Amino acid sequence: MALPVTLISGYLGAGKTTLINHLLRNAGGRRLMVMVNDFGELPIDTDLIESVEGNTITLANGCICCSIGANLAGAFIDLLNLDPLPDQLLIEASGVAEPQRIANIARAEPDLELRAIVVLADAPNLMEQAGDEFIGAAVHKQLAAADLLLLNKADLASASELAHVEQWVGETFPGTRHMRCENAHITLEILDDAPGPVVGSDPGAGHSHEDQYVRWAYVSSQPMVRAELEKALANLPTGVLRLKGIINLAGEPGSWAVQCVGTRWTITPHTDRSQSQLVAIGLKARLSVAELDTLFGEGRA
Amino acid sequence: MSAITVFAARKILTMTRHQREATHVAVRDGHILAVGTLEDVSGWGAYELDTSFEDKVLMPGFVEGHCHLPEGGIWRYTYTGFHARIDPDGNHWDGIGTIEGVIARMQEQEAKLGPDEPLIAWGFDPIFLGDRRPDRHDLDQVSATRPIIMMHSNFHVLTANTPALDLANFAPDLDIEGIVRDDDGKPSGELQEMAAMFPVMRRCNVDFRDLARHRPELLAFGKACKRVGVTTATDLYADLPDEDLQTLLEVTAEADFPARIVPALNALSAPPDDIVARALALKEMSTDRLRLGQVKLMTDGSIQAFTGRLLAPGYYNGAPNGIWNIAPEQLDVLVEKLVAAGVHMHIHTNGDEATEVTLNAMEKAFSVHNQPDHRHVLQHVQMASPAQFARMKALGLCANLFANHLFYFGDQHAAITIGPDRARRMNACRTALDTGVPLAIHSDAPVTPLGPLTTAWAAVNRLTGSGEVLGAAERITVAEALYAITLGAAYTLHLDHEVGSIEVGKRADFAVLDDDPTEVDPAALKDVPVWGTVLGGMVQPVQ
Repeated sequence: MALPVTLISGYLGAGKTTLINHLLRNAGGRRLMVMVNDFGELPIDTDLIESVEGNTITLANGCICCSIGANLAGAFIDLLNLDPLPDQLLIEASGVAEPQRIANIARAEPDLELRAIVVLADAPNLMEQAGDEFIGAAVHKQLAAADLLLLNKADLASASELAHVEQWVGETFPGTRHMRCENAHITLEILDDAPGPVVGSDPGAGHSHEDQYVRWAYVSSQPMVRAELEKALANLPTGVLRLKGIINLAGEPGSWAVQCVGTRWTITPHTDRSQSQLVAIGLKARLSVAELDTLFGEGRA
Repeated sequence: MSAITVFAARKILTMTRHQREATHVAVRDGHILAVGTLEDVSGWGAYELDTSFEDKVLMPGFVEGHCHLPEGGIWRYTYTGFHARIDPDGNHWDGIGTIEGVIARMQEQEAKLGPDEPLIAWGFDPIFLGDRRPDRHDLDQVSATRPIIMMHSNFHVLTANTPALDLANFAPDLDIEGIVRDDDGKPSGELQEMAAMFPVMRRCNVDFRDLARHRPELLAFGKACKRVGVTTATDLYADLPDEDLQTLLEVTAEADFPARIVPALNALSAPPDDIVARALALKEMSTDRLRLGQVKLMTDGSIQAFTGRLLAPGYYNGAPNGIWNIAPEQLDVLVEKLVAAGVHMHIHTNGDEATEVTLNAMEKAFSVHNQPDHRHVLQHVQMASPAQFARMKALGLCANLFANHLFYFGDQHAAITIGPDRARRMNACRTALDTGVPLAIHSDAPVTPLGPLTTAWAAVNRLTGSGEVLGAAERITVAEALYAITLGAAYTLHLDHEVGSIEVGKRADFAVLDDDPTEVDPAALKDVPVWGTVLGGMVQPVQ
């Protein structure tokens, strides 16, 4: 079973560290490993830290954070030599890193599985950064690589600024799945890696922004047809942020885990289940669950 | 009172102004007691006269201001490069100019391996071998069962044979640019950049950290230094985890370890305040053979890989501008903190935009903090313009120029990367000196071979691999080049008060040469044979 990898990218000040701390704080018993390729500030909130040894920080909840240092390959070798392996790997790319270059390591290495490239953008400053003579090209590459783009610090931008940014993103990077957020706060269901369809409790639930989400569930005793499923995953409505589940495929033994974050999806072997189950979460403003019913209804054999 | 040894030599080139040449040097307690004629040095009491250098020429031990420890350990792999090279044990490896030659070399080495060992090669560069690039079928001729990896000279590309590719088991539909595919859609064997290379390298147990973190590789590095007259060498990018640091302290403390090592801590691996604290703590741990406390910053990539950051008009072939390893605004913050704390910095800047951004960061930092005699060094600075050298001078910065690049990549720079005009002013040693910027020159070994006399030759002659003179106006004299590989480089490491010249009170570190580099034809400077070194008075013959 390959170790799932989520890459967190974005220029300086976009909120990568905030998002990572949010994930670590709510790991819920899962052992997350964070590899940090940034060096601007202490990557972990101090109250979470149990001990620091060399370049490795151990958290009270069992999560680990380490610095990648001068040798990227060496960091991955050390990671893959861990016994036991962590449950999930989060990589915080540096503010000027090309996320695709790091993500490709997880795509090419059989013992890793890239789950998503999540890119944060500093919404009020994005246009200026994207046009900067020195770092503009790097920011463009980050936005282009995003499976899911979080337009962060939305509360610090005016309504017209936000609308302009969204329009520009839509025109410059067509097909990019994006959403607004504040303080890098998104419901953890979007990045929670558990393959099962049961959505864990999220401290974000009940949060004032909770009402922006809409959820969808699908259960069927009928197997799905692979070609139809793949077509549906490739054509998900733009309001879908996350879709996952365990399903059966017609004519193929065993069950299959479906993982989708933003525009990236995988179908990988899983232990047998009698039913096919999928859940999804999306943006209420942009997603009607009827669309998903239609899309996946056709997938039933 | 400790014993005094007087070394007699055919000639001693001291690199000092008041006494350029001498015939005798007296050494006590590892330091130079006196320099001059026998009469000059015999006034300090009883001495033992060592005449073994009677027909030799002594120079200050050479100082390599920018190289890396893997120059020793890399030789565990088979060399398949175009240029001839000598390993730390003195074995001469012919350069190879054909794919057939590469296969033959690997076949020889393959026969010596145990049954389960992969064959790893390094140094290969397809640009010298015509249009056809080698693929897995070529390497399958060496072995169709043993995994084989041939690293290219830039360490960013490799060629693997079929058994090595099978280990990685790349999915047929895996669309990663770095996995080159043949006409049938199968991996050709060429893998570019880390993502494509990693699965194969990991399964063949290739971990570049192993090239520099254990005793045998450190001893090999020491031998490599001795062979080319180097007594002080940098390791200019080190994470220095505790266990590596401990090994370095132990091995360099061994009685006959033949070099002083100056590691520079990677300053980008932790928040700036942590780096400052670590560098200051490391400095306190220095020994006479391990000089700690300096740091290295990476700004851009390399020019030949099109990852260097260039000012307009950019790359000659139209390639997009390169990459940053640190955002300019973050560089400002880091540089200011390091300047404020007085931590000695070495800053990698290849392209002229990276140089410009670094000069801007320095200028901002110096407008807030005044650290006298800081000697921060711009490393490589290959494309710096006269105006940028003027700013370096104004800011008190040193330049360590990559003279070897003129020979190894000069033709490619003129034809492909930056065009003939800018190539002619690359690694502008003459401009640096005329502007008054303290100058060192370097090899970046193992990127190009360690060997300060070769580096000096490159700066003096500016010959490219094809034999063209690239920018005659930027040549420097033999005397200036010899200064750059001794006192010049020592100055950039803040070690000129200890090494770099044969002068009373300094460490007795000498390069022992069979010929006089100031007498030979400047075109033959690189061919002056090195007999060995003396480190702290301890004689270190190559043989």
